[in-house]
Amino acid sequence: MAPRKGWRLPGFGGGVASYDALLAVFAREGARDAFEELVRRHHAAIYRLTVALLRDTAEAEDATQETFLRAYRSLGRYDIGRTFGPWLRGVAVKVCRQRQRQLRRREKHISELAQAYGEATDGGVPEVSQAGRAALDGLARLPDTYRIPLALFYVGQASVKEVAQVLGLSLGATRVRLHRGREKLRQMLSTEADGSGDQ
Amino acid sequence: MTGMDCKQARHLLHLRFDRDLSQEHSARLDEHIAGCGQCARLSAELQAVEQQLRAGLLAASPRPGLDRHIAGSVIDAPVKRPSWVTVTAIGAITVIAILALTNLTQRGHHHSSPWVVGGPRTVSIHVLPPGAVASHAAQPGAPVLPQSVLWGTEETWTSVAFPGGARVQLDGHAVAQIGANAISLYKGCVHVDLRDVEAVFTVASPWGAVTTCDGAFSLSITAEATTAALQVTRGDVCVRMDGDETRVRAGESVDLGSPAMRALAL
Repeated sequence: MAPRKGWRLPGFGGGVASYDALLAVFAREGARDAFEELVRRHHAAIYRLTVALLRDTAEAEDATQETFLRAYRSLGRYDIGRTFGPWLRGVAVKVCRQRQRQLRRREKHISELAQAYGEATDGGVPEVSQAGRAALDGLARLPDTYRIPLALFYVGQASVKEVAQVLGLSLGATRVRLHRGREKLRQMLSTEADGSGDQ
Repeated sequence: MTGMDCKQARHLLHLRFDRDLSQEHSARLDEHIAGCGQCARLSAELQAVEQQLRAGLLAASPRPGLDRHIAGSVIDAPVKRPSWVTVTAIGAITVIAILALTNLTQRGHHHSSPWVVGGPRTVSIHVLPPGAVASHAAQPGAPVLPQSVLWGTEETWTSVAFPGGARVQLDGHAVAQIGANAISLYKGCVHVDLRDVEAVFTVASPWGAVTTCDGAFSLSITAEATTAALQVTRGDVCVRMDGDETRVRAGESVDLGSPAMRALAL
């Protein structure tokens, strides 16, 4: 018998809670180890997501920490009927967007922003195979509209429905963004592969 | 011929990479790809994109100890002190809320549940201190409070006495919610023995509910809440899940374990 996603407890009013939701309830009531367990369970996925969105490991670490800080302070507003993982990823996306805006404010032009991205990634990009790095570089060059859904989809094996929930989009709109983003990434990578093959 | 053109095939290809394609459509798509070089090339390229992206993301592993650093710094982070305006506003809202709640209670029956979405918080938390034994919720002699939660942290067992006479033992890793002659076990181990007790006792878990009226059993859920095992030592117990009932008798052990669902092991 497989465990169900949530379960009803006789005599408790008929609600349903997941294990993560329970930990979140504990954490907001002050159980330190419950929050530590939530961090343990989710920090790797959040870190990968922030790396994908910010393309810099130092920035990603800061963004991961800020994500959990905001989540911790928002636990009182967390609705235990929602799955915790997508809720947390939604917080991470907001943190990354804000950090990008701060970065943009420091730059005068979009082109300078791209240059700044390149400089920042040189020192802090994770060690990846050449192909993996090309894919992450390609992802970084996509506009937010496509980059964020793709990153959410591939980090933690999220479903299209979960991505739609995090971004507050319809299923159809989310699919369109995923399809176009994937297509643009494919074109980018195949152009680069053709270019390197010509040399 | 599948009757599918390349435009349709392209759309289905993306649905496949969305993990949203039905088996029937998948078979039709494969049939089209087998006879169309252009779509076969597209499929291979999209496959490569996905593999590269996964490889890139998987390589981005957090440094060891980042979780401990984050948990520590987040929990210990200073909280901004609210201004006197905020404090006054919160005070006023609290007074109004108390008045409203008092009024509501006086008008009639009001049932609260710990899992009402967006409802009042009625779950009380007790973090068991090291060495807490033979007590309920770290308060020796205290009555069982429905809806209280035990969060075991130590290698010790805690005994919980219920008003009906039932007595259960929870190990130091148990995370459980206490009800009236019922426990919801999220992880850890619970041992129930209803010898000389006239009561029906239920242990609810993600695998289903285990009920007995005269038996003794242990239910163990692993630390990652991925597998569970039931061992009946006296009498018989009833395991209910999604309307199905199974009877397990004294001396029998049942491995309830199976691969974890995403909700329990993200």
